[in-house]
Amino acid sequence: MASIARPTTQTIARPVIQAPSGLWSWLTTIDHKRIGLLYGVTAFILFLVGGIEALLIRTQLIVPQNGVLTADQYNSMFTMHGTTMIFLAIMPLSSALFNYIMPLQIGARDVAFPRLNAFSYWVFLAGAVILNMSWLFGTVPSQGWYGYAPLTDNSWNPTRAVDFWMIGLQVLGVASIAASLNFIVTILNLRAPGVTMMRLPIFTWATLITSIMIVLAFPSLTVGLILLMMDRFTGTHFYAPAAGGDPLLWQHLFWIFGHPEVYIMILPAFGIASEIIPVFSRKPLFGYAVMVYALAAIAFLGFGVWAHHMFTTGLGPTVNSVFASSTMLIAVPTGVKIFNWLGTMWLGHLRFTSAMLFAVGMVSMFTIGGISGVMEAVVPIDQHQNDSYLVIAHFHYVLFGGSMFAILGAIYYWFPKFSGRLLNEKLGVWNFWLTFIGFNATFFPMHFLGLEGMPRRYYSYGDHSGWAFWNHIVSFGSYLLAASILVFLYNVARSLQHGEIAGDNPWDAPTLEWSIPSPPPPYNFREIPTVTHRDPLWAAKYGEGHAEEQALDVTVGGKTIARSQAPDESPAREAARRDPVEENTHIHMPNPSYYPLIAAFGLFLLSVGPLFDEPRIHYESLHLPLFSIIGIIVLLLGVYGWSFEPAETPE
Amino acid sequence: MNRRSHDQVEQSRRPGRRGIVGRVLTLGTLAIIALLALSACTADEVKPYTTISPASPLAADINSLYKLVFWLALIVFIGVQFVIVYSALKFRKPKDEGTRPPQIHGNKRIEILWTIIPAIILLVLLVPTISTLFHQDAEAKSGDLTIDVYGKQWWWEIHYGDAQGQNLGVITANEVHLPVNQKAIIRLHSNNVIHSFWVPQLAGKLDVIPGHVNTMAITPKDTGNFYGECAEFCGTQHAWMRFKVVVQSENDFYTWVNDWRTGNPGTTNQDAPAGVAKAPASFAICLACHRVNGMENSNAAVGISAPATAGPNLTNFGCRDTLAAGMLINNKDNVEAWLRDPESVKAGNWMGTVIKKGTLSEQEVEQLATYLESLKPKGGCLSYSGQPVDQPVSYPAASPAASPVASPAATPGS
Repeated sequence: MASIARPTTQTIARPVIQAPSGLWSWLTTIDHKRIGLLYGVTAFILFLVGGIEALLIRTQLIVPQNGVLTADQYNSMFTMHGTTMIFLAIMPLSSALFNYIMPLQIGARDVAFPRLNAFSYWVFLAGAVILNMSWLFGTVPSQGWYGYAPLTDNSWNPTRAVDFWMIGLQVLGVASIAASLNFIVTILNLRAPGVTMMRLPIFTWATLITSIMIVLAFPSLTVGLILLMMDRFTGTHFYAPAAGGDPLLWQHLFWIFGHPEVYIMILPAFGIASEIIPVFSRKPLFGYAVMVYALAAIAFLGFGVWAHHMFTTGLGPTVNSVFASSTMLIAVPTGVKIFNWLGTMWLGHLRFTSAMLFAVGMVSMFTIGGISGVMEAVVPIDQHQNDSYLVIAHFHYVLFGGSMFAILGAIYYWFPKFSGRLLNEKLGVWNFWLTFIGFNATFFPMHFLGLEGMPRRYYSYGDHSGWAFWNHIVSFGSYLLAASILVFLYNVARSLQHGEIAGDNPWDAPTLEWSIPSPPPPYNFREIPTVTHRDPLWAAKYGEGHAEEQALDVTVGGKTIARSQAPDESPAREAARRDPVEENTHIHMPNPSYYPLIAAFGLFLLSVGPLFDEPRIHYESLHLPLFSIIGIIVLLLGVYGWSFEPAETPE
Repeated sequence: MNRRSHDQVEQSRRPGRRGIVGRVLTLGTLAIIALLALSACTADEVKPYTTISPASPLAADINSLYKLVFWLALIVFIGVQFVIVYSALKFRKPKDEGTRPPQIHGNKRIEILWTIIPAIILLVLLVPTISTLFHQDAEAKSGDLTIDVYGKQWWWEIHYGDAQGQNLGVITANEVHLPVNQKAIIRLHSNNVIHSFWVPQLAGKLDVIPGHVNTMAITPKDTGNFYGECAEFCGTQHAWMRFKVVVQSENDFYTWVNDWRTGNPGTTNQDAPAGVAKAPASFAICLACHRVNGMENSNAAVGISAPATAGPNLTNFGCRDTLAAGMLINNKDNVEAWLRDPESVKAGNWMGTVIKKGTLSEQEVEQLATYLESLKPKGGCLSYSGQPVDQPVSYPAASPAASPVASPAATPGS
């Protein structure tokens, strides 16, 4: 990050705090930007892993009765593909953006709890490692990402496969909840003066609402997994019907988490689109307040629709009617969002940069997923579509066409902020159209397969099932989609070295992150800005309504630093230009710390203990996992050191 | 700057409104034609599992709802995509000319409008949804005969009863026989994991959940063969848990019931008096888990109380189209391949834990296959023609599926 030479003038002093470099600095970093990058790079690697799993799935299904994978290998692939993409790719990619961008958008120097933030990342990494460790031990989970009881019971899954999945998810839950609490506190408490709630950029709103959803939804999964752990490790029967348990209990607990989870994955995408579309339309977001309310409404309603995943479990017509109604209701705020994006583009001056292509592509593709979602809310239709390829088409239009398109768009949009360099636009356009065509070739025909009655999770099908033709197309589409990701990777690799230098605000965007250098210094803002408008940089440059020139002040530290007559100055730049040496006093920044890493490693050891039959400490009928005992000690040491570590070096 | 002059500037450099609309429409039409052309490629294929060609009243209800939703969805889809493409073409402005477009922050009236209109459309969908649900529920209360379906790993066991559920003494595997125009109440049971019972042409799917009994009604309107499948992931061989529904005339159905009750009398006792049909001695091994109606010592457990190891009822085996729940065509070669080493044919199946490669001698395999293929009613198999049969692939010895490396997690339970 620090490798990019920035033009310095005489009046700009050396940065107050220089970004350290080297492996150790990354292991001990508590800088939200670095943690964001760690999240992003890790999650993207795992996204590629999940992608390879998807390609294997598609290669198996390319022709009838294919033998590329055995039944169990195939089942492992779709289980790991789903689990990886949801928990290890899309969620942490959103987390990466939350981490990097949100504090910049609210004018903060870091998140509220920087060490907890580092801990969240390391715990996320631990969860990812635990899940994927199963490959090394040959016990890869194969029960589906949703792990329906009683298939997860010892009777039907006697190997350790389910344990890797169960404990991996449990650990990931810790990471998600810790990170989310951090984001919530940050947004509520660390906003710069003048950044009122209704001036928050929509992406920050999405961060806040997504985080609240995570905090409320994950406990349900945690409870479900604890009951499963007890069933598997201690012989209880919460989900075993023969002993009075009920497998539907798992489905309720899982989907009370699982449906909000869908919104946890898509709301960040909504936030991203709400940032990109106005910038490249050169218009403010249409109906800001309604966009905020819609986000909140979707989040609220999202907790009341879980049983639509269970329409075929025989809950009865009354329950099904209620959940059909709530599910349809959620389409209303979602529709409002789509229309407001269209309203933003209408009459705008549209620049189709790669970021804009992905954002508009997201609106277009997500609409298809939204429409098929409404179709599935009609319960009798869902009796056909549930667990068929139509559902796969539906949620890939939401999660790839929605979330991934938006995340790719976000990378094109914010890459200059991360790296100081622009991604190549020509490659970006190639990237987009390849993704767009590959994506549609992969997932659109799945609608037809669903209508032709092809169920999900079939490792094989006969010649005369009538599914061969579309499966051919789908598989070829998936290879095209993979190629588009290669173009993206090439673009990133190339642009890191040779990309055009971006400057502070290459897109003429209105939000605070664009007022500071790219990449930002460790302390982000030399002085915390004071904000008086929703789109502060546009208000400063173009006037209050963004259209007409009028005098408008942006003040930093009580001084007016931006007026319409100096439209190109960003507030922080301007602040830096003023007599920096004199004001170069002290910026309160926390020290790096290795305790979060130690604590996370302790949690990792604690969690992997039960996954192995040895080493254990045998004491009478107890067989205590040795790793767990060591892990508890390490965890306690880490937390102890963390608690008493001084936040700053005494001067 | 004021709005009017801005628009005038814009109009002078953009193609006219009609031009853009025309381009969008052309693009859209081309896309639809391309899709239709592609769909046409598949028109010749038989679609045994199609959801849009219903053959029972309840399935027809679903289809009419689907049509309603489909057309509404298509309108919304075209509307939104049209606006996106139209805006993209009409308002694109690659070069910054230093001008700002009108800075519209919102419009309450429009926003209220596009909140209310979707809400109304959804209400239009909700009413028939709810009424269909209650109708389905009422239909499933009582019928002309009762069929109990047990989901197993990975096949189906079907028990037949009359309107009161009185047992007809018929148990089939992976074949559901129904008399046409009579309402069958299907009760779904499992003593293992969750399955889902789905015959797309006859009804929507319903889950088969241990500890619960779900009930649905099917009143088939046409005779013929219909195809069903398991639609909830249930372990290794979820993909091969197919079944067939044979809809017969009432006469044929009861002839079939009688055939089945008579079964295939015989014994594995080679010392039995002449006149009693003799099965190969090794068939005794089979009878530990399988039943054949009329056969001596045929009393393997069935239904919900059967252990996981109990296998399908083999009565009139020679009349079946398929083996291994739709995986193989029922012919002598495939039966032999199956008997030789069930695990290599359908990894993870229970029979593979008992019959391993070499358990049965080559001679026994041949004898058993011949015998099994001969299990037919006296009057021969009834022909159930009506629709083309979904012929699964024959099992070639060198199929790639035949040489899998078994994964350690292959066998559920032990």
